[in-house]
Amino acid sequence: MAAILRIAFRNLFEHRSKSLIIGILLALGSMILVVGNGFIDASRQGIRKSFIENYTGNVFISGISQEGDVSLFGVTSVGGLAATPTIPQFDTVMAQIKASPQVKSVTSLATGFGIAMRDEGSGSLSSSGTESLEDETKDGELSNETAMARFLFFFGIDPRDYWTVFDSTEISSGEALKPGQTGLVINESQLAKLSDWMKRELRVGDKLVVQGFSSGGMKLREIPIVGTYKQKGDTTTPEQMAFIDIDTLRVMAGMTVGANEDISLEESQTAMLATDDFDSLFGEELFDAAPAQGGFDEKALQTQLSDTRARELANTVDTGAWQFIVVRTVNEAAVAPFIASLNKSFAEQGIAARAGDWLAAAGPYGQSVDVIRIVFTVAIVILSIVAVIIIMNTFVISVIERTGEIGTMRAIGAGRSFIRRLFAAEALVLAGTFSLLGAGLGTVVTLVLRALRIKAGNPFLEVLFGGTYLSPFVTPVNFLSALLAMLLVGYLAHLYPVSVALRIQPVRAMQQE
Amino acid sequence: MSIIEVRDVKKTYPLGKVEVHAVKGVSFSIEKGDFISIAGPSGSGKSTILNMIGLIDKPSAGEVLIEDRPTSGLSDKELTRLRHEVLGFIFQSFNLIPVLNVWENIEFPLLLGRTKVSQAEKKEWIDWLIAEVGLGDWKTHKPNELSGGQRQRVAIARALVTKPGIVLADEPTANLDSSTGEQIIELMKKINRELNTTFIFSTHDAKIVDVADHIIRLKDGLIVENRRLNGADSMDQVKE
Repeated sequence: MAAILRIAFRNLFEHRSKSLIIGILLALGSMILVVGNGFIDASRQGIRKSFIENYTGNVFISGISQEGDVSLFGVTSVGGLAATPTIPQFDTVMAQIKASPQVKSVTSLATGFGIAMRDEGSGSLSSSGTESLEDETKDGELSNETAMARFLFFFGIDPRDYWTVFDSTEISSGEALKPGQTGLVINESQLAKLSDWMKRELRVGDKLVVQGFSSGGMKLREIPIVGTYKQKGDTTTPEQMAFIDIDTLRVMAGMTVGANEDISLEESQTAMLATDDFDSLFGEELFDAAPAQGGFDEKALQTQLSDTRARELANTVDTGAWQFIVVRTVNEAAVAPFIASLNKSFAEQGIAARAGDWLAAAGPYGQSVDVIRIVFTVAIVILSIVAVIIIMNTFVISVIERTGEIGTMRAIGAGRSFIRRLFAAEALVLAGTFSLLGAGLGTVVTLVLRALRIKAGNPFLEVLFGGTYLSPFVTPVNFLSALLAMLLVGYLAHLYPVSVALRIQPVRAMQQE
Repeated sequence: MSIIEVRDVKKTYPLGKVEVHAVKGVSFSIEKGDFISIAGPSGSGKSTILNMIGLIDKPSAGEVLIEDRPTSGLSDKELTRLRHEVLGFIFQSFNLIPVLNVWENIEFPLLLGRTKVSQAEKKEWIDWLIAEVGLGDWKTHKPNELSGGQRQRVAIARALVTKPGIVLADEPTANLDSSTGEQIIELMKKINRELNTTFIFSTHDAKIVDVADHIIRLKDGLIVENRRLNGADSMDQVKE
């Protein structure tokens, strides 16, 4: 084997230009893998840290929706705004979680969306005091900037324990929400943007008119701003995130008692709802049918219409309802078994709740990194195929040039296996050497990028960077996987050329000039 | 005792739609320790016969026996092994491995075999061969740093390193000047005497032919002369 390696090394050196072409390709591939994976890992780690420390904790418990997966951002459903389910038997679930020794801290949450509206004190107020999104620009289109300034993502919190579970939020003015207090704590940058949009300075103590929207419809509320906040450290918190008292959120998110009631209709009522002939609802038949069941009684109808119990039930806020429980655990390594044990327990007790990790809580937002990784992997696979083809062609040219030499080796007693090993050694030595160089260079590039502390200028880049600054890093696994990937590329690329070499007959030695 | 026996061997090559009859049926035998020249003009079939004796080409008909062993039914692996153990090759264009130096080129066939030779024994043998071919001062030189004659000396040493019974040389002097060519033939003759190795070489150079003690002369794929110069001539087969 030592002799084969010696010949392989010398052949590669002898055919320097070809070796260099192949080597540069392999080194580039290896470098891209190291830097790219360093970048993606940093992004993933940043997002993970940010989510766990700011919103989701290590373990996330939600209700179960038939419409799709439940995350902090609601239900991921196709074609519509599905209601985020509340956690059934909340007190039982919470008691069970609090009893676990794995739990360091725990709080409950509900989320919702809304848009800020202009009020009477604003610079340009419409006659109604509210206006639609389309009012924003002269050409009828809403600019992204304006939409983002008005959009609010509400965290309905339990102030008794939220601030201790997530201590990365710093109140920059006013105060944090207190138990029983109605109000809003808003990001200081978002408040500035809202002030610009409103053409008046918004301060702590002012009231903000917010239109909440949910599957149950829209609700308008005037909410006092009790404080502003900013995030400590390097995180990717969206500025649109605002903390709100849970009762106001429940109203805006349509978390009413009726929303969770199982209402069963009689067959005739279902049939009526299922009709596709709307004219019949207002035709004579409706009144003709009534006397047949005992005659039309106006008094009875009035009684029925005056019974508002169902409507009230539908509008009564479900004061005990929470959509999520988030847990910070004592030991991160024990998160998976803890989640499994919770899910097992929920199933045994017949509680329609599900425990998941931060990724489940982050929903589509957290999956963005996986999407980036998939795109990156696909790009790398395409590049690898191109590289294999180029390297293969270069090797084939090399084999053709060395026909006489291979024929000579075969003539003087080299078997096919020797030729196979010789070419494999050449491919692997080349791939190993240059991928090592590339991975080393990739490590240097990654360290330089990290040292430069490139700042993410916008929220998209903050997600991509996994924080305010680009902080890629190289792990031994990434380094080794880049090496292995390029070794594989080199090995695959030599298979066809070696089959060409093996077809060379010993008699070709006689034809060497 | 015959070390090689060629029995009614024919070789036909396809050339487009035409078949070229390179060897039209030849038979002869070679004794152990022969220094034999296969002579004839270009296209007479001498290289083809050498290739078939060297087991790097297969006859279209007939049989080649090496050490009384028929070779026509052997697999590629068996042929490779036989080439390695019994045969040595010297090529017209030297065919040294360009990335290896003189010592390593000579060593190379030993790396291919199954037989384990101790490092000390190997070194002693290769050094003896290098001294024998007169390249003691050129051990570490690469082929491109040597003259044609020196390269062919390396090739001779390489052909002998596995201690084969037979060494085949295809026009070993064709790429050398006449003086160097004579030196090479003299060297081969010397080794033939010292090691009793059978040498079979093809040539069209009349001066070199005369050095052989057994001449097989070919013309148009047929033997026209098969003669031992050390006494009794033999005409095993002469065909028109």
